[in-house]
Amino acid sequence: METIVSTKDVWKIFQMNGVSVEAVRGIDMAVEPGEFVAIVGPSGSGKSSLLHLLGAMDHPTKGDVFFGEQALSELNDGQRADLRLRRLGFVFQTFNLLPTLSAAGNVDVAMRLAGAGRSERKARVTELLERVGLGERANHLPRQLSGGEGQRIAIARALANKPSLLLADEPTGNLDTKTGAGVLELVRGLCDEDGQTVIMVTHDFRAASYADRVLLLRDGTIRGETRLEGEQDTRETLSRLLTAEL
Amino acid sequence: MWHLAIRNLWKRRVRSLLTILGVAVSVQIYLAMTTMMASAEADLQDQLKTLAGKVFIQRIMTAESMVEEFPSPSSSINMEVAGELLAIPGIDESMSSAILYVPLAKPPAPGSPPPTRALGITPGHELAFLGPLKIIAGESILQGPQSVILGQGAAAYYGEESGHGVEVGETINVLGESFTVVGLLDRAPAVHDGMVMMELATAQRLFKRPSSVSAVILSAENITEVPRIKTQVENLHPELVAAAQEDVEENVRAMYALVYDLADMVNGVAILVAFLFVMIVMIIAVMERRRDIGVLRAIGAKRATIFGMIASEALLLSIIGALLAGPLWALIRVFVEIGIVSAVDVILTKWLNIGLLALFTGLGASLLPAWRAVQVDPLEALRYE
Repeated sequence: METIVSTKDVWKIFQMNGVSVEAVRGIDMAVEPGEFVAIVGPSGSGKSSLLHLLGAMDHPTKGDVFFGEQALSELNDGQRADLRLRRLGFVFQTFNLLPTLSAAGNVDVAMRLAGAGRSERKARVTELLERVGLGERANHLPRQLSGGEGQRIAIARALANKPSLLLADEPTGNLDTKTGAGVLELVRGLCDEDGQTVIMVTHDFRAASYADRVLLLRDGTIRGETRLEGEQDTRETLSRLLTAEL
Repeated sequence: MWHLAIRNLWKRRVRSLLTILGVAVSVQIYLAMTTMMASAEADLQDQLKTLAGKVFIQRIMTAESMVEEFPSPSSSINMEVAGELLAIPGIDESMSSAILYVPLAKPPAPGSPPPTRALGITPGHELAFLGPLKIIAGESILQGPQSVILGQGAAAYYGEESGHGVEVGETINVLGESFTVVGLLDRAPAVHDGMVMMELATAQRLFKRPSSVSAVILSAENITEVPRIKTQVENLHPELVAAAQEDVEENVRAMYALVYDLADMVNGVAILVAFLFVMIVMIIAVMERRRDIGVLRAIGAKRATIFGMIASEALLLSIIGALLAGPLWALIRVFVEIGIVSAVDVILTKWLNIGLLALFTGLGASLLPAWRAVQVDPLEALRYE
């Protein structure tokens, strides 16, 4: 089956003060189009490091990451940047909106980088802001937005260039439960309605329950994997996953 | 990424404004120095134009007069020797003359020329000294022993009390004697501008030098004869110094070499200050915006885009600052000396200098901060606590 992104025996080893830290250890995984995959694990499990490798923001120490059939190791820095711009979308825990740009400006900047024309950008920005429910906040600066609103704008920015893959690193980490749930509902909606492929990294099993598939990561390796078939068995399924791992 | 550059500068507008002012002041200093040196060079060229086809002879009496310009007030040539020189074959008699040159007022500052000087010349041979310079009022020929032709500087000097320059027909007082102004010279090089031209005999009587002159000017009938005439003078009277146009130019340039070097140094420092202003501000900006740069890189901005953003900001600062330097300089000049029209003229002729300076400052000063910006690793910049 066609995959959006996959890894083959990928490792990431950091050297810190002469000590080797194996953040990712020989992971093989694949994500299919339209899937919502959650990578769950405690702090220090290597989930963010894995996400950075998947997102072409970092280089593996061993093994490789493939975007479709393209090995990321064959791409130079400019090509990787281009991949991130046109094929990937990033959502960060702390939103990382540019403070000098309005909500619309933040969404617009991604398309400017991709060289989109003015009318195309304007239409797309309006569409995306409406999609995330913030059409009336277009001219507000990030400091004028609430946490949930900021993250929604970040999601809109990540979708600006119609990426094949949306990568979310702890998207609800800085949000309260209710607001976080709203953001996750939005992401889930993107998958269900638009067929968006999503990989989300989280330490929160409740957040993971929105995904189609959950990978349990610990000490840089995948310790377990499960599919979530419906809302009813999610809690039970995740509990089984966690129990099995322990 | 110009729109990002503008927004970033606007966010820190006080700092941006101070940087722009710093650049403006530096560029203004550069403009002032280059204008001053250009004026001096233009003045020199104007003076040199009056020297074509001529040989200037004077006698070096003191160590100081070795570096004084022509004519030197400390030079003295016997009248008989002057007559001998004026009889050399191949000279145009009507354009040649002995001259007596005496300062009439003290120099305003050490090393600067006196504001007005008496110049005695054989009547009918006025063009030997005036050359191609224009008379704007009255006559170009003296009209008797108590007549004078004034340069603009001398006219202003003698008209100080009345509040306006002396005009043709008015009288001036020189050493207790009255003289009628019969002609006024157009704006001219410094030597001519402070001139009070009178008959040689009058000057010799007034300054009690009946048997000597300061210098002799010989005009060749044929410009190709200048070297021959010069050699003949030197052979006849080795104690005299004979100089043609190129000799005078060489001496003047040697005299002012230090001034030119100093002006170049000031210009260099001014440009360096503008450069450092912009570089320091941009380095600080890159440090402050490390996270933003990391975000842009993470969402797919290439290194070249980041470089361009930083360079754009630096260019904007330096271009605005440089453009502000022109009006700033003009404002200063309006208050200090000349009218608005003249100031605008100089700004317009200096636009290329301003533009190139802005480009050099902006791009050059952005290199280091932009290099630092593209080194920002998005992962490190976005690291959470």
